[in-house]
Amino acid sequence: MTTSISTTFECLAGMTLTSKSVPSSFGTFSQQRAPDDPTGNEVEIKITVIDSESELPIPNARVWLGYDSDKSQILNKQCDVDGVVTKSVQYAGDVNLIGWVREHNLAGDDYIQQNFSGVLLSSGLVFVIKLKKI
Amino acid sequence: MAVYLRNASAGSAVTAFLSQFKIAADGDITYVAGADTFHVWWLHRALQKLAWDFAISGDDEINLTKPNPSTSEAIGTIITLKDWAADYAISYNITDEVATYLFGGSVEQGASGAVTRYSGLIVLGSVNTSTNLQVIQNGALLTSHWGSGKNQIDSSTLLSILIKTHDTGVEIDNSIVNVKANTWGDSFAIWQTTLGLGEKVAAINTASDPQNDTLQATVKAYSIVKSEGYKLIDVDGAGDKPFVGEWSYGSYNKKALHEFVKSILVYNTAETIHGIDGDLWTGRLFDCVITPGAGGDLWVQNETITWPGGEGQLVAVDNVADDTATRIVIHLNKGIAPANADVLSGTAASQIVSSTPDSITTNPNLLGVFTGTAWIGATGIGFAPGELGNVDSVTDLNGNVLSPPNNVNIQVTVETGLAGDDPHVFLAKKHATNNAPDYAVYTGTNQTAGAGTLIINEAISSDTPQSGQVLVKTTGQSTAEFYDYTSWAGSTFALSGTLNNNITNGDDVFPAILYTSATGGGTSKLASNSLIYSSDIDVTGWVRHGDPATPDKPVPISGTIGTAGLSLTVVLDDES
Repeated sequence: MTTSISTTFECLAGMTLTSKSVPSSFGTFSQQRAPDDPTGNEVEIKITVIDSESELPIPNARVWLGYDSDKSQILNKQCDVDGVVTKSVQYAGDVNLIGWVREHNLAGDDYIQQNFSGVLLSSGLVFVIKLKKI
Repeated sequence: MAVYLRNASAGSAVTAFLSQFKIAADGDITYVAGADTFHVWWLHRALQKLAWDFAISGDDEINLTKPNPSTSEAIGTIITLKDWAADYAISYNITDEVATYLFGGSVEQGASGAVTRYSGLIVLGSVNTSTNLQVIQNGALLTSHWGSGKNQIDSSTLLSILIKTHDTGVEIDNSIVNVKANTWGDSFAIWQTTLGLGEKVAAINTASDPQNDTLQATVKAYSIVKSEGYKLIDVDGAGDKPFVGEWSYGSYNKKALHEFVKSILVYNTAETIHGIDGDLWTGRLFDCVITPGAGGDLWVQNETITWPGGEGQLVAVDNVADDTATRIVIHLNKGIAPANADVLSGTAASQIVSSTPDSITTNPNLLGVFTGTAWIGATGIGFAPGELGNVDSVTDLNGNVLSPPNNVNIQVTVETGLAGDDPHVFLAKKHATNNAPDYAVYTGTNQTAGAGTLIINEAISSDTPQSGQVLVKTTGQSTAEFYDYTSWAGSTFALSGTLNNNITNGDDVFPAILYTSATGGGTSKLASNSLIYSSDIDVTGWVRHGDPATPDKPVPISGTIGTAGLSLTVVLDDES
């Protein structure tokens, strides 16, 4: 069973995100509450990167995610063929996260990098990030 | 050397960029080696490529772990290098040297309040011959790294570069630059533009100047004298008008003067005009009305003047005393033009501007257009009135277009046998019926020896030379005696000396066209004068060289002074 809430943020690349929606000609991302995990402290972070127009996954996109407090790294990975990266982390309380998504391999379409941020909850964290072509 | 345009292949452009520059972990972007140039877009793309990489490579130390290096706007022409100093101890930035390899837009970097901006400048147009464009900013020439052109991305582009317009939060000369083309033999051009984000245009076009075909070294050797400062000149017989300078070609001609002034302003000149290096002359003149000051201080011709937000050079002032000066003309060197109520400050004097100064329309050649026969003078440029004709057009500082009368030259060239010969030339209006000079054009009034004027009963004809010799046959004498005069008005000749004898009313008086020695350093001698042409004048006279040691045969001369004046050549024949 899945219960989820969804909050969509829009931002200009490089801006600090808030919960207030702002117009954007760049990418968007949405944070969703992950399924509850009543069995332990390990929760999953899942980030999906898609093209903002076609909404197809971007397999070559790379994601960096870290803690907002000290900018230490949580993950630094390339998306799979479905445009997804995942990471299991220990939950020790709500914590603010920041990160960015880039796809700029100079082959095919390149994209405008997208910053994002959110809060890691006991239910984990799920991001869907839309990138715009340059 | 390759030029990577905005639409270059991404793979090759980014690879070349990263090869030529080091991208340090702290965000410093520095030049390493190479001569390629890049549209600013490739700075952004190269940084984005590195920031996508997992690994670092060589001297490029940025990867996915680093915060976003840059953003791009306006189709890749406005690049902002991000400052993350507070959170990541990274501030992406290029050096001035790196900027010399970029074009096509702007690059901005640094923290808020301390931004450095490199603005794009593109010079469009065409030049007649290979031209080293000059860029003037803040009263100085920028060091050229572009030679006779750089990043000429199409046939109409002369130059495309970046210019630093903000330095660590301080705007440089209001982001204004002046672009100059001043190649000898071509027409000159100046274009001012205000740079900003992206790329701004300056338009430069030059053409062959058919009136500038003399060797530069020859022209520089001309003995023409520079004329600067405030001048009151009567160019049309209707009274004095205000001008800047009173340019005279002296013993040369109009073309020589045109070329002489160009030699002051030509590329890489060592000459100055109004105290300004010719290379830095931008022709930005402002005519200021000023309130008379307290007195006791003097303005100094060509001194540097400052006012709030600007600096310039004193080009002309109607009176050097600060309690009587009411008008001052300034060349803007840097900053903004003076405004109403600004205090103008020189070395000693200072006065307040009392209205919004007028910008004077100027010409890159300074003097104006020279057509080959005529001047179309730039606003406020003064010329020696005796060297102007009715084909010329001049405009005074007040903007009035003035038409000079037709001053024509009368020249007699005498070819002598020896350089030391001193041939004498006499030429006068021809008698109406006799084939001889008219010795009785006017009649004198009663005057006493010692007087400094010679007054006649008639009005002096308007086509009488403005200076020269007037001859009088006084009662009791059988031969006319000559007097030099410096000017005339109404019925009075102003003499340079005084009358030797009394003049009796009715004595014969006539002005000569020429009554002088033909002079010159070699065996070719010249006697000349000028007058205002109104109708044809038949003249007659002779050239004589009666030196007992080496006499020549006298030669009669005659002709008609027409709309183009009169030019005669006489070859003397040895009679010794």
